[in-house]
Amino acid sequence: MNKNKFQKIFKRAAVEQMRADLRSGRSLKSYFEESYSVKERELLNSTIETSGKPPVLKAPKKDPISADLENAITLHGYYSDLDETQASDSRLWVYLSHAEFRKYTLARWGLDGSYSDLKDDAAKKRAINQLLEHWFVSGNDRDLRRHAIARLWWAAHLTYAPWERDPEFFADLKQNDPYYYTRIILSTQDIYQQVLERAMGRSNRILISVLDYLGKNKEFARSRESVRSLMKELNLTYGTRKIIALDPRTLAGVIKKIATDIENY
Amino acid sequence: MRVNTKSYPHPVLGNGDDLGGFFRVEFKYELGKEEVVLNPAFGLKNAAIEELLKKEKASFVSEVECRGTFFRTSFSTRKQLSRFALPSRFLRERVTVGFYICADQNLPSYRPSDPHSDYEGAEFDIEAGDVLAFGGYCSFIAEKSFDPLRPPVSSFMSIRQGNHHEGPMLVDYESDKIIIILSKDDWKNYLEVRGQKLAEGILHASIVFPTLIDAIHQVRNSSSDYEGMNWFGRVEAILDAKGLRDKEPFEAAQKILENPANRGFRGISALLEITDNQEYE
Repeated sequence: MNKNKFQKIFKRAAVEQMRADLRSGRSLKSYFEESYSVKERELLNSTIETSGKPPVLKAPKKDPISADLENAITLHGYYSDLDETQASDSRLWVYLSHAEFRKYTLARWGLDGSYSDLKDDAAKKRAINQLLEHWFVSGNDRDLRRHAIARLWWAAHLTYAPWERDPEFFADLKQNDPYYYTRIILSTQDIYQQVLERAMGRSNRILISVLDYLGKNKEFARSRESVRSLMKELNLTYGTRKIIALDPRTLAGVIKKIATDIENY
Repeated sequence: MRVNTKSYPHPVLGNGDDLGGFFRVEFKYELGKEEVVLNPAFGLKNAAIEELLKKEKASFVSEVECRGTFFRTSFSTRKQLSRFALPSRFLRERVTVGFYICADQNLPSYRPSDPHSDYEGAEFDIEAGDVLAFGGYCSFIAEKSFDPLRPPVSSFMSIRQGNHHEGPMLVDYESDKIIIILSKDDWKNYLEVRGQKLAEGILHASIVFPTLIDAIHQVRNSSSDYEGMNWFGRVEAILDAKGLRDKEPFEAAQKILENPANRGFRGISALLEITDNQEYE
């Protein structure tokens, strides 16, 4: 693919001022507006190369969550060369949520109603916290997991063709569809939250092994309580047993045993 | 190296006084443009665990985690001197490395050597992956330009304009850096003196110093809400590098800012001198 332009991002000082403006409530009203004027002096050209027009992300009014998977794949395809360091840069994500994908962010993670509905300080405070959570990133993976745009890219990135990233470990899990595990992690909002919420979800080997189990045990995966219990139990086990260091078969066995115990409980 | 004790279903070397002997790790790292190299050197004294390593039934495990990039991996070895390389792109800001000895296979009837009297004569069924020894953990900042021994304040703190016209400064800890928010009035005055050498000591003493004390309190809090923030990792790295982790925040902040009160007084004296000279001219 021909790469011909560099992704714009905010300058750090601009992001810091935007956060300060939102926290103080000064810019709260602007988060109800579709138009957003970006000042050139607040922008930098990053080293991230892109080509063609940025994609349009969908947020169907009836069920905005239903488009998460399609949006994640589209976004990951467009920003396919982004590396992990670039993809954890708050300046990029704050620019994308506020400028490039503002319409989508407003539809999916915007505030309900209008500014005049925020009658008192408590309502404004709640609105500000909601915006800080989904429109800004503060440099850790909890924020990346919750940010309107970053969450989509990371969901696809962490699950894209693991057999290419770690061929020896994932040799037996090879599928025709490189987004096979992305489809599982985004199949329900709860799977996404539960598997990435826990620290051990940072291990690609554990993450993919859990998703593989959920993909093969769809009834188990459909139960919110079961998925939650599985992740909780795995987390407890991790405290005394470094399952990250296990071979694929033993790791899969540990996951299966915990899941079976949960089912039989 | 930091060590915290926890409750294991079996005795673990390095976890309080569970077992006699030691498991110590000397850790060095190199930050390169393309890769980060980790060099742990393991020192072990405990007959039963040494025997397991010799018989290839256990390994030294280094667990690397970076909260900024959804990254966690582990390296296993049986060599006492090891070298692991990671692509730099996987790491950003604070990286934590934990050191363990783990079982490579199930060990039925494991009988640890030199146990605490509570475990005397007891046997344990160990599963593959179980921790047999804990050597502590440490962290570093994966950024070449950041030197925790000579950290500029701007590497973890920023000053911005707030929405209030006057009144006290506010602090926002929920960002990449600690953000001190000044009232519009104070911001205007701040812009006039920012960057002037004489004013730096005064600003450090009056604005940065109290904020840093509070930030160090946050870092010392084992369950701080801000643990994942970049500034948190940087302040932690500075405390570790300067050997200030166990000092009171009041003392540690003064050391990091190199005696801000003294620099503040010197700044004030110099400014008064300038004013006096101007009056006599």
